[in-house]
Amino acid sequence: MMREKRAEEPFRFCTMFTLVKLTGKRAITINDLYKLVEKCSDSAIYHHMFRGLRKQHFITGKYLNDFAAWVFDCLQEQELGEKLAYLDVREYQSIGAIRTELLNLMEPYRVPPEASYTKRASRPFHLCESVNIVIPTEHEAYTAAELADKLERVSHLSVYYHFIESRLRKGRPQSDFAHWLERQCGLGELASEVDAMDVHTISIKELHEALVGIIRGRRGARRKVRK
Amino acid sequence: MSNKLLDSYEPIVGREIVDELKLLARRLQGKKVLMVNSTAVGGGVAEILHRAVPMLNQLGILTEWKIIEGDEAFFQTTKTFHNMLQGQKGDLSPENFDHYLEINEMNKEIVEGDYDYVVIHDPQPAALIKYRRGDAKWIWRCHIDLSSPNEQVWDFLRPLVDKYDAAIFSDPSFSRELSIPQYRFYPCIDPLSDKNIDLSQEYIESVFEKFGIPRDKPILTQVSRYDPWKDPVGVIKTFFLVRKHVDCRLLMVGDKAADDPETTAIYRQAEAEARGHGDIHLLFLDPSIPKEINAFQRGSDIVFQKSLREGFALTVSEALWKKRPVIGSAVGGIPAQIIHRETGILVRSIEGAAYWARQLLSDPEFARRLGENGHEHVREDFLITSNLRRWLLLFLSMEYGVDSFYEFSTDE
Repeated sequence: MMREKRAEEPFRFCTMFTLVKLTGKRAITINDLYKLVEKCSDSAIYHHMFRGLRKQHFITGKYLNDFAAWVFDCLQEQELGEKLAYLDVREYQSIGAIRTELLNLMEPYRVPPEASYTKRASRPFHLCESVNIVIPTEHEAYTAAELADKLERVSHLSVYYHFIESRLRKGRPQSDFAHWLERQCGLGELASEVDAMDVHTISIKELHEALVGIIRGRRGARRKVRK
Repeated sequence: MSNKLLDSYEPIVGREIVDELKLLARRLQGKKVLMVNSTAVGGGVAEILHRAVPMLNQLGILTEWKIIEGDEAFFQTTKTFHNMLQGQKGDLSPENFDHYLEINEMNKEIVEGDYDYVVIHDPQPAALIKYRRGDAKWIWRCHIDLSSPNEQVWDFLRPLVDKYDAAIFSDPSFSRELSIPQYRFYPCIDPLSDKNIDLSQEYIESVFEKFGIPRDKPILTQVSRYDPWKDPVGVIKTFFLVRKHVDCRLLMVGDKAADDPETTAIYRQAEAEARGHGDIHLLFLDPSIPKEINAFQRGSDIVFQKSLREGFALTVSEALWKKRPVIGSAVGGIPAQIIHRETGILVRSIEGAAYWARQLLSDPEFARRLGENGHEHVREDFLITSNLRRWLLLFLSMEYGVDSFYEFSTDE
């Protein structure tokens, strides 16, 4: 069943584009990686933590942040890899907090007598940064039904921006969709349902499809994307 | 301006992706861009510029493409530059460097003009930066692996590179620490080119028939020049290991590189290794026939790219785009295209390639899934539309001086 309450302020869709900047800096041991994380820009932490969440398709079994994937696959340090992979970016409202947590997790593994101290990776970790540009689109919605219609017109990058990125940029735990549905349409329950989607277990493409289903009030829309 | 060419990509990438290109381009209307390289034909760079330049123009970015002229000695020197920058041994005389600079000076008029962005591709025209005038931003697009260059050439080139406003590399592993900002642009394929366009089953059948390759058993294929770094002998050894367990054919397709006499010698080596085996088909094409190669890739059960050393290896993306399961070596740009067991298989040895070929032949569902995932991976990152998006983004970020984040307002 569709919800038709009309908002005073429309939902304005933006889309976010990312350009990858290279630093030429590399790590080959866990200590190298620790030092890179300690000194690198916020934009580099952001790049390696959020990049996987923007992938538009299938890779749901892989670790989504680059630090975890490299430690697990290239350094073969599975225990630390698992710990790094468990970091949920939605629980942090600043890059500084993510950096601190990464350093805390790596610290015990980079000093003797841990065996990981001397391990060398099969391939280097290349430190990169993101340059993000957000541009408003022509799409606006005044009701939940319109929000679902317009969601079908925008790209996955737009969904990524409003569902994941904006929490970090705006320093609030809610996604833009949930925030607007609750504040403008009085649909608190729907807002909670929207934000209960777990971006770590589905791709952005599946998230996009599921959001349309949930907002249209399709029963089982969330369950459908589970594998 | 009509967006006919651009709109022809809509059925492939989706309307929203084409809309986003237009959205980005809206803020760059009337900007003037000059692309400079050293050849109008042959090689991936020219191939993509032929398509990207008209598309940028259709988006309202006034883009010109100019080609530098040089003599044989110049191109011999720049070929040595290329090899030495990728780490090979070599020696160049002071005269070689002087001649390189002279030829660049002779071409200086091509960069005269009221441009906003000047993009120089590869080392051949890199010294044109010395003739920079006005406010244009200069970008060096380096298509080669600079991670461990020969110092003689790099020491010469570096002061020139430092004068640019930005540099672009194809993969993080190809870059090095520089004093200027550097960006990653993956190379790309054109899904509408003869090499990649969709083909009918009838056409595919006819190509295999024309070349006398029966499709009575699984076909394993490598499309690559006969070059030692592409390891054609290793691919044949892989085939013999697979053939112990599974009845299959091997198809190797390479073209004669006009400027490389070594290809014939390597082809002979491959022939000797094949020992006249009836299930091994070695094709040595002159000239290259892109649509037929497309058919060979589409008609194969597994595609190899078993290189020992690589540039980016776009043949991998070409095969993935055709939903083929690909077994590739973990070198150069191949790991960017193949995520092991997700979009293909990464190997490091003949035995590894043979092991996985057997696995894929015995598990067609897994092979199909790799191909499907590979296709989506290419759609997202390695198509010409993604490449255009990167150019527009780079121009926009330079225009607005964006370092890490910028949010446009509606009226901006």
